[in-house]
Amino acid sequence: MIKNFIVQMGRSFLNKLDYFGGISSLFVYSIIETIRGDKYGNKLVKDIIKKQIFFTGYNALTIISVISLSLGVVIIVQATTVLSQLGAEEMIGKILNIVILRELGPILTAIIIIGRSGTAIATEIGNMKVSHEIEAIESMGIDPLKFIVFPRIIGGMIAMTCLTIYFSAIGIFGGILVGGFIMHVPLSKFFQIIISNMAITDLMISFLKSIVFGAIIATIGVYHGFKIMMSPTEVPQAVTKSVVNALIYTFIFNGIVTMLFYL
Amino acid sequence: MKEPLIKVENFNFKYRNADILRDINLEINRGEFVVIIGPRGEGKSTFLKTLAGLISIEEGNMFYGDINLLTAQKKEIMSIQRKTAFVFQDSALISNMKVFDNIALPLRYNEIYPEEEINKIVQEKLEYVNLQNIGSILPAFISTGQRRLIALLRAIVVNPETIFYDEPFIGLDRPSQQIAVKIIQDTIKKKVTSVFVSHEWKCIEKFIDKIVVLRNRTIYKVGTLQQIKNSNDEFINSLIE
Repeated sequence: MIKNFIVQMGRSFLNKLDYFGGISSLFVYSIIETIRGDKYGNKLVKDIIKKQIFFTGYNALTIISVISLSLGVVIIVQATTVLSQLGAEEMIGKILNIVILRELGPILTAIIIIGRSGTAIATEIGNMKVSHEIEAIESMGIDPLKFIVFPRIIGGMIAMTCLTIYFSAIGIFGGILVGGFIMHVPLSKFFQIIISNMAITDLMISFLKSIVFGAIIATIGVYHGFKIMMSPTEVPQAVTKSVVNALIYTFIFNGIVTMLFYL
Repeated sequence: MKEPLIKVENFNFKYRNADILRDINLEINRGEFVVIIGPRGEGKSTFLKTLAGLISIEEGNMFYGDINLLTAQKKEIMSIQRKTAFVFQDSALISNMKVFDNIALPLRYNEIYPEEEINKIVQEKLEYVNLQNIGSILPAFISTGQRRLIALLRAIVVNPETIFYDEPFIGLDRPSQQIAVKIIQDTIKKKVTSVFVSHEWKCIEKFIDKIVVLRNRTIYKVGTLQQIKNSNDEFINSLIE
């Protein structure tokens, strides 16, 4: 009984290790093959990166705006109310920077992108695999690592970083505008508190998280898309797995970074 | 003077320990039109994909020119693939690219011509098959027959030295089949080497230089059309009649 349990745990650990190795290799090789591979297709690859940024970044602006604005208002109103009662208004800036810029901005943007783009990437590539489009691309002497994988990962990373900056900006400044209006606090005072408490470390953490989250989401989406063998029924399963694993890896990385910067 | 382009020696292919192809030996000369026939499930498409470098070889040798696909580096295989083309059973057009962009893809990727030249070439190809009005449409919105013709155009647009055809006539009506045959005939005039897997090969009968018959996952007989027809073999007769 105990032996079986240990064997199962061991197997599960090895599978997880194998999975991590798989997505890491995909990420690394797509970059190596693009840099060291043939000189062909660079213009096409740039165009696909632009499209990926447009799809993942620009098309998500509405949902990011709504969520970040409402979150910013809630945090500012609640924080101002509670901290005023405690006589610690000067902490508002610090709390806002930590909560929105360092933590919620990157992670909430990542969750939205997992739902929107991670699933789309896995579905698109899965369907391409089933209908032999990937094979067709290979048959033309085009490297799928350069033509399919690399642009999606790079596009995902750039879009994720831009969206996180946008999320934080809308969350903080939008929150200040609406919060200031509701609570009748001068906007200049709010701005001063927040800007004076904004440290370069906050920006760096936010940037680091967003760029790695982008890589995680896109790589896992592509990986699960490529894992599909030949049946369309595999596509929804792959999409579900990509969402779950992207969430797990994103939260684990978020926890690690947060802990490292607080230690 | 016959110049061997593709040479297969003692080739075996297994999938999950099951024999898919075994002990295959074959030589295809430059400019030859070769048709591979056999019952369904004999591994004809797998063999074709292996010849095109789409499936890795584990046992035996397979030469394309001087390059052995068994030991070739990825770059070498890709350089072969840029000189060849593959027409897939289910067309395999890139679904998120318009018809025009699908045909232009190999030209754009290889960056041989400027964009204006590419536009001209693709437009000419579409006009040749009278499909110039569907260039701006996604493949999902055109008929199966049109998709097959577009897949053929995508294959010939790069002027390949070898084309691998996997059942290119499935789903084609009579007029579309005639257009497809005309496209294939043009490639023969240009001395393009062709390897053809199809159950509907009667319409290209006059082009055939060599027929390869597969049976029990290996080569059963190789010969000219006449030799195959005169073989008086019950199995072969069941395939060609």
